[in-house]
Amino acid sequence: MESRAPRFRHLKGSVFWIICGIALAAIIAPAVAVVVSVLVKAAPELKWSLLTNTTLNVQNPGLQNAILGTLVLSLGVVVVAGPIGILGGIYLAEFAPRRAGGFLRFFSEVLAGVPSIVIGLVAYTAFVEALHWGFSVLSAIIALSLLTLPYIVKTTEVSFSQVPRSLHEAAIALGLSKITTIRKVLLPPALPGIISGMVIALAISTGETAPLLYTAGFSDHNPTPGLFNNPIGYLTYVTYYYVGQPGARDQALASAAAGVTILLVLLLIFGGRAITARQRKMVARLDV
Amino acid sequence: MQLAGTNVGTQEAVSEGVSVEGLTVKFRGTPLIEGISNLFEPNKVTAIVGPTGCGKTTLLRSINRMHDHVAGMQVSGKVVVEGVNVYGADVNVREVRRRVGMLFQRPNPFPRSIAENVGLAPRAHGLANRGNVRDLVQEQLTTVGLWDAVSSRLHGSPFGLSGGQQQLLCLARTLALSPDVILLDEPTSALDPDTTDHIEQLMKKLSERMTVLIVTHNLAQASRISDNVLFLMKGNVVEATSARTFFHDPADERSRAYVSGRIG
Repeated sequence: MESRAPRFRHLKGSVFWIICGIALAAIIAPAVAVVVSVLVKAAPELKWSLLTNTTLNVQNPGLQNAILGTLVLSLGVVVVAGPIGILGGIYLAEFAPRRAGGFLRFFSEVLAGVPSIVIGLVAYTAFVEALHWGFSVLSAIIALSLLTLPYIVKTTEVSFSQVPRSLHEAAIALGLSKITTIRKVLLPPALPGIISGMVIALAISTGETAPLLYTAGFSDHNPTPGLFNNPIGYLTYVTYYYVGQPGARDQALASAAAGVTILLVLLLIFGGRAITARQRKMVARLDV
Repeated sequence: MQLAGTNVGTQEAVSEGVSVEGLTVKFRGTPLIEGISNLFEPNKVTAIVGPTGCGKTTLLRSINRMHDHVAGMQVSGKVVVEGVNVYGADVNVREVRRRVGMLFQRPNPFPRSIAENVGLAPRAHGLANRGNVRDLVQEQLTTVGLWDAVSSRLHGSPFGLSGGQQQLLCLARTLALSPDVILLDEPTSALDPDTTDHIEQLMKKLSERMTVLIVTHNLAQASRISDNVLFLMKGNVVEATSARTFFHDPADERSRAYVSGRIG
């Protein structure tokens, strides 16, 4: 038995490693395949005129209106979902009584589980139709905010909960108020995590199409001021629409839009990771 | 002994120390300390000693109401600090904590600059303003003997300091609120001998102007710095006496056993 047990353990270990390796490959391969295939297809189409022309230009269509539109919508998410989500997360981490907290977390998870197209449909019924906002910047921003809110709430809550207990105790023992404690003591170490949650929310809103189809409409023109009855362009629509068009020029534009979308999302993800890495270092130092 | 509030009207009121009366703390119904009564004399260092789990830290944390923030903790009885029962009905808990400072077992500086660590609480309590907070920071850092080491990097991170320096910074942070009482929960157990010695000297000096309570596992430390000793076992007071009596001629057989290392 003594001689067989180690061999059996080695075998078990090897099998485990192989399974882990397969799982890892199953995660990495599709991610790499998607990014590479999109970028390879988009690479020949990426030219300067994409940034200077709009989709209105029939001879040499560009993405200026779509890129600007996507940036406007993302800014809207930061402005609308950002404060609500961050305050919600702080409430859950620092104030919520157990029952209220569980209640809120449950609804946040439900919201996270609602398919984006359903959120789009609800936003369409409520804002575009019932409130007569029409296809509009505001309807689109609210739809995207509903979609990203749960992520912002969750990452904020986790960031605050990860701040070491000893800092809470130090603040309590000095007689600091709850608000001062949050602003001056807990926020600095929690901030990088909150920012990386915002970045994830932005990556999601950059890549979403379904809720925008019903709410943003689309515009071949650059975004103009006005929240109501003012359709706005965005990148994913260009891919969605032009890939179905017959001309080679249209196909090329669809590929270029997909490429730009992926590049934007990658930029956001790497930015978010850089910030998260900084946070880990910070928390490690706090734990000393 | 200086007692009773005869000098309340004057600027420098006579300190009354800390009086604990019938204090019981339970966690989810299980008593951690039972009916403890003791007077912690003003301007003296009182060491709270006893075997692990005897309720030393529980007693210490009752005095500035730290148990308020732990679910399941029930406190009954009285803790009177400078004539005020801190568990009284209309007590301002934040003011209690302003007057009763606490230093923890491990240094826990805020993730802010060294200067802000010291200046934050006085500003929050309105004891300092933007104009004079710098003087306060310098004064407190000088008191704890950290000024020369950090004066050139006041706006730097406290995490670049050694563990001992971080603990001194935490002490300066507490002293910046001019407390009447300071509670120390094994403040040197994570520190090197030099810093331990330095903090012990500070304790003696601080006791000239405040009431000092220190929880310690280290009997040698208790004998070095304390004026009085409160010896607890299983949540009850075994003996409360002067340090000299406790270490040389304790009344209780259990104290004798503890001092000689037979229990604990």
